[in-house]
Parts: sequence; C-alpha cells; structure tokens
Amino acid sequence: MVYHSSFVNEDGVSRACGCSLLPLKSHIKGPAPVSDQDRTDIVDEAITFFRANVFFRNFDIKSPADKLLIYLTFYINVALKRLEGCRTLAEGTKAIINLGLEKVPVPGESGFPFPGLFPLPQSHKEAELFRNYLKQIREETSGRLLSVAYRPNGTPNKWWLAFAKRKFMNIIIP
Amino acid sequence: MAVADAFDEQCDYLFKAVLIGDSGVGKSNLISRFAKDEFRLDSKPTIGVEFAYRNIKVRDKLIKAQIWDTAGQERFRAITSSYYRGALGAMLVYDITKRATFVNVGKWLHELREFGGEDMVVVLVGNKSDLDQSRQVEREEGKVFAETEELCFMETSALQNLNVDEAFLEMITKIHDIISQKSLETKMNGTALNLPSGKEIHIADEVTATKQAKYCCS
Repeated sequence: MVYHSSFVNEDGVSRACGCSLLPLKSHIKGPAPVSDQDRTDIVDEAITFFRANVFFRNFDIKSPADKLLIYLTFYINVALKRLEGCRTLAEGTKAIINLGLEKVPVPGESGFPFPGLFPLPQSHKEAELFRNYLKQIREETSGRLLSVAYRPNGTPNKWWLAFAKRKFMNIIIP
Repeated sequence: MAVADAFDEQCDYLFKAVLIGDSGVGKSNLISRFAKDEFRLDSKPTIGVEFAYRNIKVRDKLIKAQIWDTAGQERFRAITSSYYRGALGAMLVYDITKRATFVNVGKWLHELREFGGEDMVVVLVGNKSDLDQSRQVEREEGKVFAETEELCFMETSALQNLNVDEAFLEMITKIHDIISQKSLETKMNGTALNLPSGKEIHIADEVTATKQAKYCCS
C-alpha cells in the first residue's frame, strides 16, 4: 500500500495541468503560496514517504496531490542518482545545483516523465505557470534532500544514497 | 591524497564562503588567484558552480576555506538556496571599470540577505584596480556604500595579485572571530544554566577530589 498525500481538498489555490499549486515552506521564488513553517508541506511528504513509495511499480492515485507526490518521488530518485559517487556535501551540492540548471519539461513536452498522468496545459501561460511551479518545488526538494542525504559533518548517509539504485515505477533514468 | 587527507584531519574548522556579482567582474579569477595563485586572461563565463579550497592559519587555528564560485549570468543561475546554504561569508564583487556592476551590488546584497545567514560576513570587493585609467567607480564610492551597509571593503586586482589574499583573509578572520565568540558565549551560558543547588554539591566533591589528589602527591 503506497503512502498518499494528505493534501486532498485544496480549495482556493491556483491550478495548472490539473494540479493545485500546493503551498511550500519556502522563500524560493515561484508561484507557490507560502506555508507556515510549522506545517508539513508536499515536499516533506515526498521525502518522508520516498523510501517506502519508491519500491512500488504501481501507484493508485487518490487525489491530484498524489500526482505531485509521484512527480517528486521520481525527482528525488533522479537527484539521488546524481549524488551517487559524491563523497562530500560540497560535491553533492555542486551536482544538485547542476541538475537544477537543466530544462524542466511540462506535460506534453519531450522528457516529461509521466505522459498521460497530468492533463496537457491549455495555453502557453498555463504551461509556463506549471513549469515555474515545478522549478520551485524541485529546488525546495533538492535543498531538503541534501540535508538528509549528507550528515552534518558533510559525509554521505549511505542509507539514503543506496536508494539511487531503485527504479521508480520502472522508469529508466538517462 | 595522503597530504590532502592529512590536511583534512588537521583542520580545526571548515568555512564555506561564496562569491557573487555580475558576470565578468572577475569572480573566478579572484578565486583561482587565491586558491592556486593563477590568473586566466582567457576567462570564460562560469556555468553552474565551482568550488576550491585553501588552508589558512588564523590565530593558531588551521582553517580549511571552501570558496564557491557561480555564474553571474542569469541563464546560468541555478538553485540559489543550495549555493548559499551553510555559507559563513560572502564576497560581493563589482568591476571598477563598469559602473553597472556597482549599481547592481544592491540587487546582489538583497539576494544575499534573503538566502544567507544573519551573521554572514560580507566583503564588498571592487576588482580590476589595475585598470585605473578606465575607472568608472571611485574608491570612495565603494567605501561609503560598504560603510552604509556595514560591509567590509577592499579594492583588488586579480591580474596583479593586489589585495586578493588580504580580502579573503579579512573575511576568514572575521568569520573565525564570530565563531569563537559564539563558542565562548555558549560555554558561559551553558555553565550558568547548569548550576542548580544539586550541582554545587558536585563542585564541592570536585574540590575534595582535588585536595585528595594533592594529598596523594605530597
């Protein structure tokens, strides 16, 4: 049984590609509303649930937030692959920053990992809104992932980095 | 690698510091001059991030300085939050021959204050002082801006190796002094917080133990 997001009914929040743009505990620039620091956000859920959810080949979706959870679980998997072989926090940080430089595709574009999961954007404006949200949520996820993948003394947490070898939903990461 | 490992083991502190500023002001050459005593005339724009190390002795402590370099160009900028995370110091670099780079210092300082820590040591650096004949920003202007914003200030030339070590050393020394001060405050507060009446008895025991030790020695 996969872990599902608790963000089931999010009224009054902007939407794009069938997704609510859920709040983030973040001051990174982007379209997401700012959440209180003492609340759990979708990034917390993705990291907390990652080591359980990454084992699943199928993911029954119960809410639109689960789609974001799937996207982030995949992103964490990609990020851990980049961190594989980075023996210090500094090297890991450099690798994750370089990952952040890469193009972020939205539904309908080549390279988007889950064709059919999200409705296609109906306009260029909606596509850019979703792209900016994905960029923001990826950056926030990267920062928090570095905090769990490396110990305070800068050495890797082998327990976390071992999950780089898992394939989420059998998607091959280039 | 053995030497590097030895250095790692011997270091008392690892300090992360970042360089920021417009593209082309000389951030990468400042770092390569400081870390490797090299200057590249054919410098290309930085893509993504790089970091370099140099070991420095400050007040009998061995400090491993980890200096980060990033793109000034917007299209190569990425993950500002991870770049700044854990940084104790920053060098805010402008080019004295290009006024626009000095005008943009305010924008960079704003980003620094948004993502950097409260106690971050910031040095304003006016680079390319060797090109005085093309100067567009007077030294006094940089100095006044730094004083207004409570930053350190230095004009440098990475080309001629003027004031480069001095600028980095000033930043690293200030970081060291802040860390030491905080460490001392923690100790004092810790001691004060650990003095309920029960502990006084323990202290008395320690005094007794000391006397006994003296007795044994004599």
